[in-house]
Amino acid sequence: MSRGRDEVEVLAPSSLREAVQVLAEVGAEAIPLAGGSDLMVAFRDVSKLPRGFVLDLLGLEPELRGIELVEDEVQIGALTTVDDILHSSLLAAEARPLVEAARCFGSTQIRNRATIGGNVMNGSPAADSLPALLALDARVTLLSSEGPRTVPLYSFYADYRRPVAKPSELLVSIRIARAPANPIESFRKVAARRAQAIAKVILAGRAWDVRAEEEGVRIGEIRLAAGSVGPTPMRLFETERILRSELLGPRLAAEAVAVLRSEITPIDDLRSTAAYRRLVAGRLLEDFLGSLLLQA
Amino acid sequence: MKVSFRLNGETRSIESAPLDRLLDVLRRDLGLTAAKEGCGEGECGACSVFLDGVLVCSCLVPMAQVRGRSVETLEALTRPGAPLHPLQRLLIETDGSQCGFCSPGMIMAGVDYMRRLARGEVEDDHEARLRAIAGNICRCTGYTKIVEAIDRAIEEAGP
Repeated sequence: MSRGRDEVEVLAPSSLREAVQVLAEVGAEAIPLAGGSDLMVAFRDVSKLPRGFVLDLLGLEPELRGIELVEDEVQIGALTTVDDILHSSLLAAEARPLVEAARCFGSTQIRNRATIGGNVMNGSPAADSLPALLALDARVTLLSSEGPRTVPLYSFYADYRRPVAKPSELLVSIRIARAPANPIESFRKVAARRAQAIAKVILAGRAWDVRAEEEGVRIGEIRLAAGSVGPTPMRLFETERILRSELLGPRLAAEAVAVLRSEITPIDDLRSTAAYRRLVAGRLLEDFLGSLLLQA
Repeated sequence: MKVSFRLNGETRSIESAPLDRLLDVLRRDLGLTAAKEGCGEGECGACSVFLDGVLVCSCLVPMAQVRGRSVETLEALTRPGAPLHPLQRLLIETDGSQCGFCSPGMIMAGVDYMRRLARGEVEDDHEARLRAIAGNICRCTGYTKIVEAIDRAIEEAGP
């Protein structure tokens, strides 16, 4: 039996401690709500309403909104908005692919409300921020009344829009690696229009320790991640491995593109086709590898 | 629940369900019909209002998150009998408003941009002006006349 939206109660804890306590007791009946840019759309369908109540998180902004350096990582609070990310000078210096993702994310109205934590928990395979976070070695910290635990983002999704967080756990922050020396980075989104569009394909990359040698370019370290090409956002481990195995030249580039096209698992849907997504994902990788050859 | 908030400079207190959308409360309960429902999904921008001075889609804001905050709608930009806001007037002069459905949201997005410009938060150029209204869909004008209205409003406002 489903209830109407009018009947759903909203609890608004004023501290993280209180929120975690509520989730420990009745987490399975609650849906945590941040900026509402996904959930308020979902709630139009009464079957998507929580069995119990909505947990409004915005009262936790003093604790969970902000971007800071913590040891050698950048910590982004779960309630940090996409607009905060777009205008962060710290992220401009340390995490350019994430800032580029924020730039093409929704519209001003959406960036003002959407939070990074919401984007991670919503877990859409087409989410703009997630390939960027994956390419930056993101780890997410979940907090429950039993304490925190940290999960690498590449193992955070069990399946299509299924984060491994338990109902008793709240996502509190995301940590990403600081920029290494001389990184070569990219964030590319292909969609029907430049703004306010859902991606057909996303490719994000960061490479460092890239050196020109006589026979080609040596890639010391590389991270690649893609969106909209499988049930979850994907870190492209196989493609990375090939690219670290030998000197980069036309032959290795072609091989890496072939590996990427077999590593991703796109489908036909209303926004694109599997064939187009494979083609374009490969071309985006060619572009990125081209920039490595130029900048090494 | 009882929700008290500032609306266009006045304190209001109304009875509403916590997940009621701000858009519905404005239109249905408060008679402020400038904000329109186009898509109801945050895609079209027709329901744009300011929440604590920040441009948002009112179709995505539950009343539980309006409590104690300040809402500004298009109705606050001018009063009946008073001169129009410059961007309203220019949208008429340039024929940037045709069917008119997107106009309130478009004006709010333009005003948001002009306010951010005045606060020194944006690097003003043609691309930035286009980006400012990227969340507002117009099916009549092809946008050219709307952008012309914004260009002229910024010019009139001066440096």
